[in-house]
Amino acid sequence: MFSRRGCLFVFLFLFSVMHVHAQSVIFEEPLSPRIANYDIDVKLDTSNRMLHGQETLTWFNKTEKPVQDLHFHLYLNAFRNTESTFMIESGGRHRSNAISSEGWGYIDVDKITVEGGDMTEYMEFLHPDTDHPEDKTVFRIPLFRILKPGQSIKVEIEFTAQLPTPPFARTGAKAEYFFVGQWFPKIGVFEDGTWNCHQFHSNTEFFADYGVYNVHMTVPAGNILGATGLEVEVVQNDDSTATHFYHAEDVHDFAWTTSPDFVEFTGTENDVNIRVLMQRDVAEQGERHVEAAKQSIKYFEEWYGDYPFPNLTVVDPRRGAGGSGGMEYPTLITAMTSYGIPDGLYLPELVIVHEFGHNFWYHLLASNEFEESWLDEGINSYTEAKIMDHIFNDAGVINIGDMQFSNKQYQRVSYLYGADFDPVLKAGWEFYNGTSYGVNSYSRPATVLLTLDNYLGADVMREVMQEYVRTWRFRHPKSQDFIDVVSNVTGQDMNWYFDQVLYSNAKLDYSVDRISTRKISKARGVDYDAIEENDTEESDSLQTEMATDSAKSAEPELYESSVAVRRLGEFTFPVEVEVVFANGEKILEKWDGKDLWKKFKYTRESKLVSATVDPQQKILLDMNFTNNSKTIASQDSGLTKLTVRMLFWLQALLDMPEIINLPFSMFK
Amino acid sequence: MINYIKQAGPLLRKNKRLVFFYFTLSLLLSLIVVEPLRSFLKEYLGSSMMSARLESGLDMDFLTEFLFHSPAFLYVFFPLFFITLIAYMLLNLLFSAGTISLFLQDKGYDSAFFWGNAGRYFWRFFRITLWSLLLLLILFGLSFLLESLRTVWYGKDPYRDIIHTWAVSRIVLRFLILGFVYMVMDYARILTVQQDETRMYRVVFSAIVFVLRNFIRTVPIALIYSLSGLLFLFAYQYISPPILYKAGGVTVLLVFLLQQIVILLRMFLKVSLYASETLLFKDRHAFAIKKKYLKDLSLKPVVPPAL
Repeated sequence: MFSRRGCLFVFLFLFSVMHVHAQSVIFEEPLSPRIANYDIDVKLDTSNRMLHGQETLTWFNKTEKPVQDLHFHLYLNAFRNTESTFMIESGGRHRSNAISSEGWGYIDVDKITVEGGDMTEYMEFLHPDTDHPEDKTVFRIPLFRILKPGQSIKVEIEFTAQLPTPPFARTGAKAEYFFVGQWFPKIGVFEDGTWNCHQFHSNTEFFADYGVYNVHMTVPAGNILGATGLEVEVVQNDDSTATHFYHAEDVHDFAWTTSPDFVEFTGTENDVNIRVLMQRDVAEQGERHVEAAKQSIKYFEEWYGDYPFPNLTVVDPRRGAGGSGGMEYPTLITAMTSYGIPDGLYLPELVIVHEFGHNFWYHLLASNEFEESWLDEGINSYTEAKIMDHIFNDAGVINIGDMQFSNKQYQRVSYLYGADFDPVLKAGWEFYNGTSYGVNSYSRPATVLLTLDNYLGADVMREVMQEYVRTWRFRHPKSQDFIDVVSNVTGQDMNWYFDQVLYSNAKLDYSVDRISTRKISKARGVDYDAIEENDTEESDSLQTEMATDSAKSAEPELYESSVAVRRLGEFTFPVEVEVVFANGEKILEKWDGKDLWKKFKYTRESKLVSATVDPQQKILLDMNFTNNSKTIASQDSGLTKLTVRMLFWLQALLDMPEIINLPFSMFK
Repeated sequence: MINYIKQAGPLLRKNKRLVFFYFTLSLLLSLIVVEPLRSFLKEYLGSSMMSARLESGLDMDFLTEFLFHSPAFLYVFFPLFFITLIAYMLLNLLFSAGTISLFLQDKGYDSAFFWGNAGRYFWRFFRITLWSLLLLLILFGLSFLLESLRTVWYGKDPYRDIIHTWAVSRIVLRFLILGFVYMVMDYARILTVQQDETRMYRVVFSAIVFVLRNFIRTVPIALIYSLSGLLFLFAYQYISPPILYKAGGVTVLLVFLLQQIVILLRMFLKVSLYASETLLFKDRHAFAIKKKYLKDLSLKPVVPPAL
């Protein structure tokens, strides 16, 4: 394969001499099957936040089954009215943003032709998942000839769309800022002889086939524009607009943004050109964003595999446009920050590492986010935790003063607070609520993989991830594919683990229930007392008596100690139990964790001091670390110190209650 | 102004035990809140080794787990804290009545005098607090105007640096308002005792006038004491980490002693502030009477000799 700089040179050369239409110019050979290929011309009407577009889709049937109709997504119709599936499910809220009653968004197909024939009147809206008759996020058109395996078809679509304002659920406009995502009629995925084309739900993301995109975007002349892929040319038009032409290969989505207010920063890491588009008011954080992007590229390539694309664009959303923040598209991601954010609060870095990670787990490996969201979000949260904690020395979220909060702790605590309702593997719209979707898509699978990482060892786990990327890049992996990779690399069947973590919501909690230690005293009772008397009678000589006494005193004192360990949850996992004795001796016991309890007994010259299940806290899925250990002697000094500290700060707070003003006045 | 601070010294020497009153109050009431919390924690930790981990500082695993497994903790803590805070404020009012009475009379501590006046003025001081709360609400209301002012100047969609700067200004302004109201409360209490006044709204109004008329004296005094109090806390934060994060029973004792010294110093500052304010008030009040008297005689006032 060419180096990325070489790719870029060839790309620019070829574009200067030839018209591009789904051929390879960035990559010497196609990296993906290139099933869905789009040529789009779109004009942005900034005053009405409207898009007027013409799209030519060239779609290949690369399956073994014939195709009789085509299914399309119209994602923007999720924001059309209160009757869409998205709005019914979300109540008009997404993350912390609410849809504005004056800011609806929509998309209308004005005309659709298939191989020259007008099919507009045959359009039919579908509701494959839920019975929401007014939802218009999926439509189909029949084909008047059966598309056989290996054949292709050309579809031309004229569409008009309006972007929501302010941006909502990843896309929209705010004043001069436009973030345009999920904006064009997009074909579903044909697999196993059927269309996989779900409604747009409040708790689902996306699924699409790879292809080549040639997109011409006409925007005001003074605007800066960023998009998926590489910019080929910019043509200044007579009407104070400019048309930007972008070309992207082996991607499965296309998003773009434009604003006259962007401040541009650039950098390079491993031959990947980084372009950061910052808002003017936080432009002083531009270098911080570039650095975070560099670190992301560095560690993802070093640890997980090659990022084959020559560039990455990072977009900082405008103030009041947070709905477009923290989102991933191929080669383009959106970040999230705020003015005056302290250096030790790693929110911008965390978001960039996370969103760039999607360029592996959602882009290079295009899993079905509607049905198996954990394969993208969960794996990505795991890699985010690994990289953030590595970069920031195990304080990958906060490192301010006395407070250090690692990303692993953040994933685990998020999991603790929402582990009750569902298993990980569920379609996005079938989760109990948004929190359950979030926990089971992000933090729980991240905790599952962090636990697996500790169980297998970091090196083996990295091999697993690399093999997963190698095997499944530019394909559509499913959960079992990931499990198979884990099993193949480790040489052990790992279904026992994934069955519990993906298909059940079994809780994992091991505890030390009881520990005891007691001196073994001489046996007493009827039989023993009699022997003692006889012994005394028999010891008639003084010498013999003295010898017996000295033997008795040389006999060491023995202690009988026991440790009882319990499994409190349904989840079984092999655990280690560390048992410590007063003479410093440490015993590491192994328990398969399958029974409800296990007792360990010891006879030693030394007293038992403590016992700890999972002493290194490798099992992050454990719901309670505090019950993992017990000591014979009470360990109160830490508690006393904490109490003393609480006392002091309480005294200080009582004496200056005006400090309460601080948090209240920060926001209002 | 420095003279009022210096002159507080002899008054304090005569009333050393007042500092201990305030200190004991602070310690006892805080213990009332902390003890149930300690029991909560003790119950949760049992004889686990997590307690030992807490020796080296607050463990985030512990904190998050504890709040998850013991949600009742917060339900106990917040009400208990607010009840204690109210009790602390009320008892401070009671003590301040005795304290100000002693200082106005330039007396050494006399138990009957202290408690007698504490009881006598408590209800009036409580009413002053209510009037001051009204004043606080009005002034806080004014701080909301900042937002409108920002909209007038920068429109409805200002850049984030402007939002941030104005938010900081709002916080500072509100702290200044709080400081002003505290000063008004202090001088209103002094006025009440000095004039044996029963109409509290008049006293609060007179205190506002007094604070504003003597702005260059009242504000620096309050500022010096407040900043010194903060300085003690910052000094503690700077000094304590080497001891705080060391294991062992002796360090706990050292930490406790260090903390209580800081609190004792803050209580010393509190009583000193009352003394300085009383002295300032007496002085300026005497000057005002003299000025009025001379004015009545159509004579020019004579500036009192420096203290």
